[in-house]
Amino acid sequence: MSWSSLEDLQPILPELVLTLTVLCSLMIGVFRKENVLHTVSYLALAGLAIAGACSLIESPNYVAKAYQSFLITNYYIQMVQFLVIATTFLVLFSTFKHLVKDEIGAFEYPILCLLSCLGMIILVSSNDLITFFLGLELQSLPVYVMVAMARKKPKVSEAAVKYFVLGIVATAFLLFGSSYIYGLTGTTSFEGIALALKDANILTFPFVFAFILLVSGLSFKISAVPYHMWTPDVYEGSPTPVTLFIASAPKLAALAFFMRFLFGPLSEFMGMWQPTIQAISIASMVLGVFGALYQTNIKRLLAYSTISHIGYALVGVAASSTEGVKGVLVYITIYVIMTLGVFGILLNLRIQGKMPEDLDSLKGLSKTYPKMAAALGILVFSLAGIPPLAGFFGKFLVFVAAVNAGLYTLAIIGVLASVVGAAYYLRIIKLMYFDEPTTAITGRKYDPTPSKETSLVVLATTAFSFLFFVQPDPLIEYAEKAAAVLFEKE
Amino acid sequence: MSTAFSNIPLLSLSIFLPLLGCFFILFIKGESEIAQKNAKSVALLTSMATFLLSLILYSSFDFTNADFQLIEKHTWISSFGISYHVGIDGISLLFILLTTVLIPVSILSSWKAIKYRVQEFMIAFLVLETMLIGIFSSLDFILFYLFFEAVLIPMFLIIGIWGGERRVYAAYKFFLYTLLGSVLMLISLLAIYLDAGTTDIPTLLKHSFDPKLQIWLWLAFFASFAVKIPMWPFHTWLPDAHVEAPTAGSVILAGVLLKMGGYGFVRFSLPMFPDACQYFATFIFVLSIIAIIYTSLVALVQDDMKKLIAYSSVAHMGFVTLGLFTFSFQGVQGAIFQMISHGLISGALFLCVGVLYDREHTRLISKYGGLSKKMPYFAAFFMIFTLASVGLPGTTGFVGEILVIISSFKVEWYWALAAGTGIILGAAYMLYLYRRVMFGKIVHENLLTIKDLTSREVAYFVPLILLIIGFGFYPNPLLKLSEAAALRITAPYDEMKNVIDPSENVVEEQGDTE
Repeated sequence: MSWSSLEDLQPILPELVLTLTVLCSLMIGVFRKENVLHTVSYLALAGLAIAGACSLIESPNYVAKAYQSFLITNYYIQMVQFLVIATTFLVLFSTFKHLVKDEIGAFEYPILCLLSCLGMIILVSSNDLITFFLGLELQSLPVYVMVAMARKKPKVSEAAVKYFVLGIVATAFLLFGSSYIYGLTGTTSFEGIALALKDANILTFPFVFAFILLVSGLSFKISAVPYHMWTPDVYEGSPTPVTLFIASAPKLAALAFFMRFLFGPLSEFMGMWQPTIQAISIASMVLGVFGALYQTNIKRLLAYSTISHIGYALVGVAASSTEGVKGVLVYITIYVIMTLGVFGILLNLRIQGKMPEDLDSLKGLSKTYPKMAAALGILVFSLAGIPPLAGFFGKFLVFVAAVNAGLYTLAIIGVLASVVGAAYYLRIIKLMYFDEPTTAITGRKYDPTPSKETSLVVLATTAFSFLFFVQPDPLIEYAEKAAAVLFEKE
Repeated sequence: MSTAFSNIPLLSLSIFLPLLGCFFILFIKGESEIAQKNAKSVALLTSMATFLLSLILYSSFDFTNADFQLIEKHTWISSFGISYHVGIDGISLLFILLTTVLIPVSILSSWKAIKYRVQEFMIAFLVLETMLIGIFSSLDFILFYLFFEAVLIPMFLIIGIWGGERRVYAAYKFFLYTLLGSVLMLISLLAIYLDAGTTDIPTLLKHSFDPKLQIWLWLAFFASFAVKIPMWPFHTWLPDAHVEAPTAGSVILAGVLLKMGGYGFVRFSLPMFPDACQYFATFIFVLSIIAIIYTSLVALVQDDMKKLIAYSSVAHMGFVTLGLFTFSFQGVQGAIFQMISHGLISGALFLCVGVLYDREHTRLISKYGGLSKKMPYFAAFFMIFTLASVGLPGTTGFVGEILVIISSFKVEWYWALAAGTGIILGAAYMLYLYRRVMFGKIVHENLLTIKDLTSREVAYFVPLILLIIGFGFYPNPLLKLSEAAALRITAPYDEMKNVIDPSENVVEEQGDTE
């Protein structure tokens, strides 16, 4: 190994740590007989913690490229990588005690989580269509397996097949689109593409076609309308720990990459993609909130809620300014934290080991489990974006950006959708606080010993949502610096 | 006086003191009677302490100064230049005092009425108090908005958990209606931020907006405040919310929450969008007059006492908007006075209904009759509040309404005529209500054993009566308090008028020096 390739290792330190952890975990899993799952989980958590530490921010003007510019890292990428790793850590931390109960208690599960996380951070730092594709697939494939693991459950196969098939279609879109881009520009590197697109007047049919394919593929990954159809089914069918995973880290990574792609190689074509993103954003917000109104299954409701939240995040993308990116980063961070909290509560609500997925099972929760109900109440109000809770600040930031960019229609539709959204979030509050526990529920008592780890995550995320308003500056400044990096012209 | 407390962040203390009470109540566990009583006592003591604190605010306030006082400013969200900025002028102080008076009264009134989840109820009320004082003292728009919307959460829970039969419907309607108004205001807040580059209210009050932009901003603010106050035809959430809310909830809803709308108009719309305000003045007059006459007629045919008073609230709030949009010193003063007066009177009336409801568990007028014989003390109190609501001279109700009518007469005689008609109708429905409930023969047997007021009930009625009659005879302290601020708000309008029509100058000045 030459000295120069050793230098390449420093920017990809988090990736390396994760890879090594995966390999070690596999070995341990194969050779250890007892209590494998917990050992591997702890190892995976440790690996994630170290990787997270490695991705800790250098300085705002830090840029490093590795492997002939296939990978790049800078302040923005480091921030997103850290968020992705931290999210994966929290997801695994809050779910690993539940895996056995949810019939996915194989030691491979944490390893798949790690692999997917590895894919995400490669995706985020990719600087080339090839690494981009590699990262995206490495992120997706383990998740397909994770969804399918509990194969004895009736809805799981449906969810797995649906997710896989639609995922493959999205992948095909992305590949196809990438190939067009390559054909038009003659290069796969993002810088090369940006350069080629700048030079030639390339707004031809093939380019537009490629653009549509790429945006479609990425929209699938963030479950934005019209590529959202899989979301409710997969959310409902998957075991809850997997749902939590799907709902959190991949969204963050894909959205962060999406922005890099739009503001990097495609920044010259803002006039073209801005209306597209606006349309996707409006459709996601509106469909998300109206779709959620009549759901009776908690996970389906949360799926639609995710769709609408992605719509809100895209408001910031559509603003296409530093402010907008800053808003998106803050929004998606807060969204992930709230999601962790809500799912944590659902994971801990179990009747004879099983999670009741019916919305009605929340009836009278404030009487049976006042603390849990209070936490869920705070999180739900926060999801609805009611001040002074954290969710409001996310919305505030993206709407500031939208108004600043003159997108009044988008902003007005957004806030109106949030009123409709409030209606279904209020339903959860109503069930917990206004309704009496029904006889059917009182007969079935919730299990007394939920996972302490999950409770800890719930406590932390609730406290964050509740107290964010006291000191919102650090996160916003952090995001501001990261956003500024994205707009620096090289 | 002002120097004695100048080092203490008095205003922040009064905003957050109720939260301290919440913190203590959180540690009171269980549904036992002692636990409940402790929770109530803590809440009452906290709210009384907040009241005392607001009196200190009053004593350290300089009446003659039109600027914001007791200012505290700390950086909050630095990247947007948003700060935790609070301060009060005379108008804010009036509303803060109204809040701190009514909260202990409501807590006292729910002493027996709230039987389950007492701790949560008390926490919700104290949180509400924090939000309300916060609204009236915010000097940063985002801070204001934060408090303004956060009010929805405790009020939603108060209506939804401790409310009547259709409480869920009412709570939803209340929440979504008001949220819809507020989110539009949020967008216009962002537009203001974009235009002026700041969310600092004192700076914004001096900023002059483009008249075209003003129209849009005014409309967005109108969406929020007109729902809150509420103006016809945006009032439909109010009767539902009032009817279903527990007594204490109705008291705060009518007493303070409705005033958030009026406060919004005075604080923001009037000084910030003068051109738009004048553009829309006639529109507001028409809506106000419809509110005054139409909702009075609606009140006349109600068979539910709470609904009747709810509709009367809409009518009384019509006077407020009428007064505000005359843009005259008298009108604004009258409107502010009317808001304070209505806060006390309607609060008291809802308490009266609560007294009856606690005993008979119905609000239907037809289930009562002839109570004056069985409940003489109650009859007397109820009478005073009824007459105050009608606007009898010697009560606060009279002062506000007469000021508004005079000021509207100066605009055009027919506005005053219509508003005057409203007063007559008000007398009709209130006296009709009183007759049906208190006089006549006792038809329902269960009323034969009804008990008169307890000492606890007297304890919360007496201060209200003293305030209503006291300020009815001698309104000057209240008027003086808001005088400087009202002059500051109306001065630009007077100037504009002088430019357009110098002949009216003399009349205006006479009015101002009254």
